Amino acid sequence: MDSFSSWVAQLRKGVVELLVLRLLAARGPLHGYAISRHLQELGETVAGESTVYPVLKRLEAESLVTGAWLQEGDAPPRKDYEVTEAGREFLVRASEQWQTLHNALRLLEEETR
Amino acid sequence: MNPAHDARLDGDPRSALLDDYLTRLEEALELLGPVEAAEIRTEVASYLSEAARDGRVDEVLGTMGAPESFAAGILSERGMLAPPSPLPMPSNARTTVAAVVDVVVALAPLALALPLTLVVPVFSSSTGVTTLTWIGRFVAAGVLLVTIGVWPWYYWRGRKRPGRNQSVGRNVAGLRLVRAGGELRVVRTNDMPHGRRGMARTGAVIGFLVALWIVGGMAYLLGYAVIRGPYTPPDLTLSVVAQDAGSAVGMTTQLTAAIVQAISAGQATGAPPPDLLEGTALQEYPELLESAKANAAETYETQWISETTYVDPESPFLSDATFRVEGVEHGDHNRTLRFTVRKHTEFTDDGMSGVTTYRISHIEIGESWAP
Repeated sequence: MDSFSSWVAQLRKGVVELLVLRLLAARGPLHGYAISRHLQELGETVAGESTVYPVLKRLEAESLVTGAWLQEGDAPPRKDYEVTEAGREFLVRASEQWQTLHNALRLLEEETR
Repeated sequence: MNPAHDARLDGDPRSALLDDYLTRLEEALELLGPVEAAEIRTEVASYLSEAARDGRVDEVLGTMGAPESFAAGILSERGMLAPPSPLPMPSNARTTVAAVVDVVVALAPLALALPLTLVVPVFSSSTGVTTLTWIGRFVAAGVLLVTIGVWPWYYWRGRKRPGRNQSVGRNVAGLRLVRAGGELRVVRTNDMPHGRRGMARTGAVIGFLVALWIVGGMAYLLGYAVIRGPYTPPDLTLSVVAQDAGSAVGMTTQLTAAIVQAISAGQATGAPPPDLLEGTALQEYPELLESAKANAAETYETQWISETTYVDPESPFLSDATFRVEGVEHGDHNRTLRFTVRKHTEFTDDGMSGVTTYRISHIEIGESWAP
């Protein structure tokens, strides 16, 4: 993996949980496959299954999201996730951090033009 | 909902392939514990089922990668695989305890080596063991050799495999060998989410002690049984030699020798001696009666054995026996004879047969006139 790919992987890893939380806060509850599909619709390289699912499981372990099993017909049981209260608080603070970084980056970009 | 519900991808021709993927994934997630690993298996099955509906199974599997690497991603996110691992490595003391216990378990059948040496002919003949047949010895030796030889290999080999049958040593030490992603790791059970924790450890300790007790007990009982032998007497030729009788005993000596011979015959056929203790009448022993008629003529009216004492009545080896014979010889003359008899058995080389000789080594005579 070259430096750029590594950087993208690290960036994506840090941002995916923010994306997952925001998606679930806006459209939840959703199951894992639906979450991946939504994120992939936002952009081809935003997040794949290998990234989204592990992050989702960590968010669940940290009680930022909670899952509930659903059984519909003969289909395999699936787990729908939604953001918990702690997850919403985390989302607010993470969004603020993201906004701060985004603003800093934008200011620097403007200076270099 | 049962989280362990297995996934079914009905209708997909690659169902077996996908099932294999899910099985490998579940195994690779063992570090999470059986409940959560099964839950993730079910969830990923649902995931793949949704993807199958969109015709994207290959694409999704391609993104997920090998089940081991996908599992490694999950474990890494959970902080269980990323270096430095937040899962503490087991201490040297724990791993040493586990190894020692495993060595003990693997070598426990060596406790059966003692009875083995007693049933193998070359040893048994020297110890005088005569109670097992050749076939019995051969079978017993075979079973013991297989137990002693195969068990350590089987146990030690199985110890290196993760899975439900963990080594006793690791369970006792509170450790567990698990598959984490693509690698095998030894972790503390308490560090695993949903680990079985204390119960498994307590159960392992109890099981270990019970197993040791059973093996030790078997070794002791088998060894003791082989040494002592069953109650079946050996095939012995009996003879009686009366000596030192002296003139004081007179004709009664031969009669007493016959009594001793009868007792010996009773021993050889397994007849217990207690009936003699009850003062059984001489007439119940035809050979004695005949001997009495031939030897005593008119010199006595009746004679019987009133007491028999053995040093070790069950021992097949040397023992002393004391017989008290009481009789009335002239109708007005009581005579009490006490014989000390030494029994000696000479075994043949194979230890399966022998000749037992009873020697009257000492005689005491007590006389009293009837009032």
